[in-house]
Amino acid sequence: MINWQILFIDFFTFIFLLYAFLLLTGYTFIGIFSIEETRKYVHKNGFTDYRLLASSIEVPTISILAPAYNEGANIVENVRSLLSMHYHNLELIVINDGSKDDSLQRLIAAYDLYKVVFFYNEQIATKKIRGVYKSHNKIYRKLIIIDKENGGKADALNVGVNIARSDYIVCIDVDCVLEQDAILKLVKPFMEQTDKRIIATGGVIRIANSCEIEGGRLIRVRLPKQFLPRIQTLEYIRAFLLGRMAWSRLNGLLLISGAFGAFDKEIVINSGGYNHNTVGEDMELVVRMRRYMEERNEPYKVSFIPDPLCWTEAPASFKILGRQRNRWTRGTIETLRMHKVMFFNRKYGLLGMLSYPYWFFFEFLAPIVEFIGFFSFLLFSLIGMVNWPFFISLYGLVFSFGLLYSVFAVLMEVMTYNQYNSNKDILKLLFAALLEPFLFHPFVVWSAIRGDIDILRKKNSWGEMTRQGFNTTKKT
Amino acid sequence: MLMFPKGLIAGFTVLSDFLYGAISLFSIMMVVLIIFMLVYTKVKNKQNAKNIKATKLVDTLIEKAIFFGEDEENHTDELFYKCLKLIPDIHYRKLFKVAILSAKKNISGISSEGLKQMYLNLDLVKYALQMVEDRHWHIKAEGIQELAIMGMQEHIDKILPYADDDNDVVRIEAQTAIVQLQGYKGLLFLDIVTYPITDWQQIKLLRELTYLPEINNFSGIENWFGSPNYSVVVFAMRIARNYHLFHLHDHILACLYHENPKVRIEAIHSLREVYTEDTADVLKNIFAQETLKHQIAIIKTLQTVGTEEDIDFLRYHLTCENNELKLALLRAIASISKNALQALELSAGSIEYPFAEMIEQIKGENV
Repeated sequence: MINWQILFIDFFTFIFLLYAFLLLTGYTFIGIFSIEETRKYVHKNGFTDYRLLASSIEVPTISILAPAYNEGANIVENVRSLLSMHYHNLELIVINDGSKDDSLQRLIAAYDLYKVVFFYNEQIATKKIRGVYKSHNKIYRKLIIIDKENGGKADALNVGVNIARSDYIVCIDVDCVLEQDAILKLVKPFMEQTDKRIIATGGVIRIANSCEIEGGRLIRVRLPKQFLPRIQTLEYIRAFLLGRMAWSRLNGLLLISGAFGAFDKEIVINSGGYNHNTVGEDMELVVRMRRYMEERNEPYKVSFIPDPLCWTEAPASFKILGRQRNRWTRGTIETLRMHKVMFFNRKYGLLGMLSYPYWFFFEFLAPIVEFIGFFSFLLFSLIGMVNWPFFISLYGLVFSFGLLYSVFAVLMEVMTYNQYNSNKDILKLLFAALLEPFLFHPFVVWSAIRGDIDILRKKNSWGEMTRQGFNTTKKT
Repeated sequence: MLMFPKGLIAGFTVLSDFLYGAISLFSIMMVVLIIFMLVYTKVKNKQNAKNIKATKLVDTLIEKAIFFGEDEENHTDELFYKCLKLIPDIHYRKLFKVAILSAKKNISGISSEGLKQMYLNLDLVKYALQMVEDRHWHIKAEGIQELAIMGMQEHIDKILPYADDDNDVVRIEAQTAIVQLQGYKGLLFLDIVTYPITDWQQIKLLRELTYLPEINNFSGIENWFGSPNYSVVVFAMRIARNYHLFHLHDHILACLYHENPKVRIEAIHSLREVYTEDTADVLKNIFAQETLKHQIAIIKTLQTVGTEEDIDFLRYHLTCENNELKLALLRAIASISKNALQALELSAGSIEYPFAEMIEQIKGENV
């Protein structure tokens, strides 16, 4: 072989090895940091009496913002569930984002709504409001329904931000099932702030497929029966219990899930609200809020809670899952592109020097590196340039590390919240971890690559998310 | 060669050996974790099954203590001895403690005394005191909380040193415990506390105060208004507000000029509950120099404390730029005088955006 070819292959191998080494080191640190942060949280809140907050009139008022688009089938039940949350000073704002179905009519009929004259204080520019509704029935005095022209989730949330009367807003997906004390737990960090301003708090999202849901409430947790939701259960445990907790410890969190998060309204408005030019509006808002605080040199923190607070339905088909992961990739790229000024910029401290580069190299680039690696491997094996013993050992290392990381995540779950508390369920989760690299991960990488291609083709659709519906039990 | 001086193949062989070593290590770790997890779950599930029996036992004992009372000599019954025998086991002790503390939190009066005596008879206080001495902050805090819930006044001296502890959880539990055990007098720790008292902690302390029999003497509260710790000043105002301590009105007014904005806004809020005929004038005087957020708070307070004399001031500021402030001003006008709102509605300016919508909204709110 001529020298330049050897040089090229050596360089290629070196770059890939270095990347893999850095990625594995990153995951190791995430595992270590998450242990300490979770331990601290569990110890601290193990004997906290949340009933105190539920009944206190001294607690800050919270505005829950729930955007809804074509949710007619379950909206009445979902709103009822949200109205029954344990929290004294609550305002529930449901934003009907120009639904084509009968969502609004159902709400009007179920909650005895009437249209009110309302001055709309447009602090953040949005699409036009068609009407504001309140209930004749005093039981539902906390409820405000906004009917607006369709503008997407970000636009609907911005309408909610403009209308909210509270200092803190909680943004949720209307079809999520919340634990009764979810708001109490999410709000507590705001009430514990001293030297650092808490600008946002996020909670753990769990997979609700196969769980028993009754009247919008979670009755019994069950491990999903279907393959895809089950693997996503493992994926979510890893992401939330390890990843987010570790970043929370470092105060480097860039993402609070759009399904459930609380925000300081003043900072949301000052930093311009949700951006409707991205499909990753949840991540983009957190990054922009952080950037706003960094640029003003104001001490702040983005907090995270490891309690399972919010349950959502995970995609059960490859088609829907592909759309979701495609959108997540595009959201990440768009956010990183919008805030590229922070990349290795010391002015932004940890945000610029660690959080942003981590997302760039290990969230945005990871699927691309894997994809290139896979095709290079195919090419080299076809032309007989693969050192098979070395390949097997390297693949074995990555596979065993990945599996160890998943086992560790399941252990963390067992030692803390223990939602899947039989050995049968644990073994099922571990079996899912074993299959994941072959049956799930390649598809996720492929969906991300399609997201990258869509970005290049300037495609910016949300992608329809058809849901199967929860395993609901009728009230007797 | 970039990486391996002895050639590519040799380099890969050396690296492969290292990789196989790492794989072996990861595999061993994985097997150990899986075995641990499975054994842990099995033991825990078995323990949970045993817990059902133990819970029944302690529940019966609690019921007995609540309904029939408990005295120091009541050690003869078999049920009690069964429980006592299980107490040295940390698992059962924890289970019993949770049940007893939960019952104690929901019960007061003679029944509560029965529970306290039962707690003492089971010698659980010994373990709580050990927890207070523990070097781990969360165990210490849990021990302090337990002593307070069980009303162990005689051990207050063990808790007092932690009122200004470095650890926030220990400090919060100690401060709450002191108020639980000593009542209002316990708040004297505010004289020396150096760390900020968070809103969460203030809610806890205010709740403890509501459980006390009527407080007649709020001694020492004036001193807290002069505290260098801003959170102590805020807390003093919250007490003044909740208990309508009108004699502290001037102290609250003085806080309107405090350098810390959190103190100033708390003062503005507190004046809604504790005010005199002069309050509105003072608020109007500071209005111009305050931030927008505080200006809105001032107008909301004027909505409660203002009179017809303040209408001109409120109308004058309707020319401001901010819509939220405008809406607050209109609400205040409507609340003080319906005639003033009517006059405003009839004036030429009211048809301009956004006044017409705002007035309509306010009229709707007042229906």
